[in-house]
Amino acid sequence: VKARVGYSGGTTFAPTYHRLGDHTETIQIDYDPSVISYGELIDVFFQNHTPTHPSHSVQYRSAIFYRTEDERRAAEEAIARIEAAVGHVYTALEPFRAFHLAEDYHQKYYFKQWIGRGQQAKGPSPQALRAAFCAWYGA
Amino acid sequence: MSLFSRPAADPDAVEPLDLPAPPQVSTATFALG
Repeated sequence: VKARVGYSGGTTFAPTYHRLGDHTETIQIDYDPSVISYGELIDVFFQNHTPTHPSHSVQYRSAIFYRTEDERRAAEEAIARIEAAVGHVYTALEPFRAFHLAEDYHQKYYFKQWIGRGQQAKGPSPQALRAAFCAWYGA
Repeated sequence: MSLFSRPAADPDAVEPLDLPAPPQVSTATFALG
């Protein structure tokens, strides 16, 4: 339904992009579970990065922040499936504690990049199109 | 039965609206990776 980027998982007070401390860059998604399940969101999460490579920094590590035992189980099952198929997964599985909204210039990043280029070149990228769609619907 | 013996309709009665249920919203948080 809606998505925004921010910082989670650390202890630094009021983190910002330039003072991230021990936080990790995260996306927070409000969704309707009757339309898409948490397990399907986990699948999308794993399709969009390579969890079998260790991250070089806390900022960009792979992590799932679960809120309920059902979510923890769903994440564990997904990790077990991937590990059985391709090997060790470095994704951290941690209880959700807090989400700090990132600065406005980080939100709808692909959409803003496209607008910033004057919408020219070879047309918008698929990411920009998706971002434009979400921005249009206030997501 | 006479039409006039019926109780008058309540002019303030509110017709129930047939609205769809509001969407449920859950929140998930993942690293951007």
